[in-house]
Amino acid sequence: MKRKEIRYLVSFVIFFLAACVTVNIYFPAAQVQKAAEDIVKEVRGSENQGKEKKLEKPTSWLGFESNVYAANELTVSNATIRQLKERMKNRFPLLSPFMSRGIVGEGANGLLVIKNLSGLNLRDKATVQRLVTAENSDRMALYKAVASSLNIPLSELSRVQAIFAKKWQESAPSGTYIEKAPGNWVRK
Amino acid sequence: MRQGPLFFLLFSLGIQSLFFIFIPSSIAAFLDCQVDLNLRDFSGQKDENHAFEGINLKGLLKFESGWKAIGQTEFKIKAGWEDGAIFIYPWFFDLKALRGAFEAEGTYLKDNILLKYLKVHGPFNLRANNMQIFFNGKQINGFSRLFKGEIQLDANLNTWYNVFLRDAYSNSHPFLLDLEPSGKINLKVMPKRVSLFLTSEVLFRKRPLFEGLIINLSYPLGGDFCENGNIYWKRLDLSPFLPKRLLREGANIYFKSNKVPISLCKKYLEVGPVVLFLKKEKELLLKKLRLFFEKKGLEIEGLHLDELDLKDVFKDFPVSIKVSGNIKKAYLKGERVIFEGALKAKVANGKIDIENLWLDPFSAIPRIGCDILFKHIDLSEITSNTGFGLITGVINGFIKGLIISGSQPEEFFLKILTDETANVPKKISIKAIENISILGGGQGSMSLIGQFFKEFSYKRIGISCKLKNDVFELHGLIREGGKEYLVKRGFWGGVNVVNMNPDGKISFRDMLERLKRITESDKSKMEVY
Repeated sequence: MKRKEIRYLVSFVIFFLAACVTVNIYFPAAQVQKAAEDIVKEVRGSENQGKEKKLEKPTSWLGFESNVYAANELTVSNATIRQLKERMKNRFPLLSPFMSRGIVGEGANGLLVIKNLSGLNLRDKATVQRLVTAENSDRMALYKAVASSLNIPLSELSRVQAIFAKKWQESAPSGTYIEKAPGNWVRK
Repeated sequence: MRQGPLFFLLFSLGIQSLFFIFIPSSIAAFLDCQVDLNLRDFSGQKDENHAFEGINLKGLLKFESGWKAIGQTEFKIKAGWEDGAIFIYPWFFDLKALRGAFEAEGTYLKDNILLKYLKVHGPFNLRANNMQIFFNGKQINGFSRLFKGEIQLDANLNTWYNVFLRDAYSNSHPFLLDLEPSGKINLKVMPKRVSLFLTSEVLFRKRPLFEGLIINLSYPLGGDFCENGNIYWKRLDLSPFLPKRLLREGANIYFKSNKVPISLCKKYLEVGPVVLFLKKEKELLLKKLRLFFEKKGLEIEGLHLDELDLKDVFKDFPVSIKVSGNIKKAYLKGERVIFEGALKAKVANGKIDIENLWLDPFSAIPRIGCDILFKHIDLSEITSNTGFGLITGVINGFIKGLIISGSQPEEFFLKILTDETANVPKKISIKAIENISILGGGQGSMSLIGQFFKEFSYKRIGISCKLKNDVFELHGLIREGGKEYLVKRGFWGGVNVVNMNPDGKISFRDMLERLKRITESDKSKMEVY
């Protein structure tokens, strides 16, 4: 009888411990992917931008509301993200020539990396350093804002960065160095 | 081997990496010499954040040791730079634009230099007299300085504002491009204090912001005491920062005194008291604000706002809102400034409490947040003078977790409910019904009904609105018979406004569009009994 009780007790403890260990494996990859796609497209523009803008236009009185709501559900945006996008959009034309010349590369962590400053005069070197620092600071703020709006803990921020990195790399001007995997750089 | 005075002089000008000339003191003791300096196109780099390029330096260097005491060498140097650049992240110095010259005379002793004078002319004018500088002789970077004399520096404010602030930080803080200061800086370094005297005119987007600005500050070098200073201005025009077209004529926001006391202590800077007049005799008082240097710290002591009617300040403000406040303390927690205290407002026979105020001043986009509670607000007072349409009745409610990022709303949760204890008529005009339904995305027409009725009675209003991730979620809080009512009629008839949007979601952009439509005649979805 006593042995049976002990067995029950042990089973209960094991069950209790197992119940306590909760592994949260949910990461809204699709939503981050969609957010990255939208944000990068808006910052850097694309051939289809005009058409997409048309679709995003507010609803007319005569309908299509449900389409708009469906689209909005997947949109990750807020006032901070909108203002950061605007700043990055204004900065991109200044960064773009340095990217296509292979001076600034797109890292695998979603941040810009200075690849090679040789050939630039000191003034341009200073400009590149300042632009990259400002851009990376805004990108980090953007990743944190996106993670926060999707309830992603900061411990998972690197996954958000990696998803964004792919989108930045896809939209980078040709000639830009791309870090495919950590340390593995190729020229676009 | 001891490093010679030439090296030291170059080091003191911040260009020590340019070249190295070592003169052992034992040799120098027997040496009288004159060196013509003509250094052309000097370039070098410590790392990508510290470099110099194409520097041209021309001058004359003279040593006189004679048979004086061993280890005592008199020197004289005169040189000028006219080209090149130096980059010390984030500052870039274009030496062509900042060309200048320097000359110095002094004595090099065993472990110190007695500088009779040092003069620099060019982008700034520097004069140092009777300066004794000690160094340990092993490493030039490790020397400790003790100024027995005085250093005086005069510079053009605009040049150095551009170099140190505008060019260096405008990529991350674009507002620096809007400011254009002109004037002079005068800096004095004395054995026990550094004092700064600045006179300036400041333009903001080409319009005068400060006229006759004078900053008078001192920082204690020895001992743990504070130095008093102040900021004074002849004229300060804050209108570029104010919504001018919204301000009532004659209403202005200005400082009570055009002199603000500043105290610089070893560990912190203290500003205050500062009194801002929001309208004559209505004060916003900031007793003290402290900024700590060592760890990022900020502390506010006593922020008081006299009761102020916003209607007296803002043009066409529809309703009287008397705001007052008392913030006992504010402090920095992590990156966030937390305010202890509350703002209160009296509006439309009711009251509003603004609590849990915080500010993120250091985030990429500065944010402010609070919770707002409102009680017994008479809707007729609020709506009678607006274009929204008349609603009578009394409401309670709150806005929880309001966050404003930059100047835009980022998040909030609003709840409005009829105060059923208030014994007042509850009526809602056709126009108000239309506008509520526009906000909810309604599609019915009121034009026909409007020919017969101008207003309807109702029993309850219950609305919740949430903003998160640029999506508004609008819901009616009254649920009956599977329907969600924003406005519910009474037993004897009246109007129902029903939310027909199942998830109540409206995009931010769409909501802005709907708010624009509010003034237009539109269509609504409703049931009228």
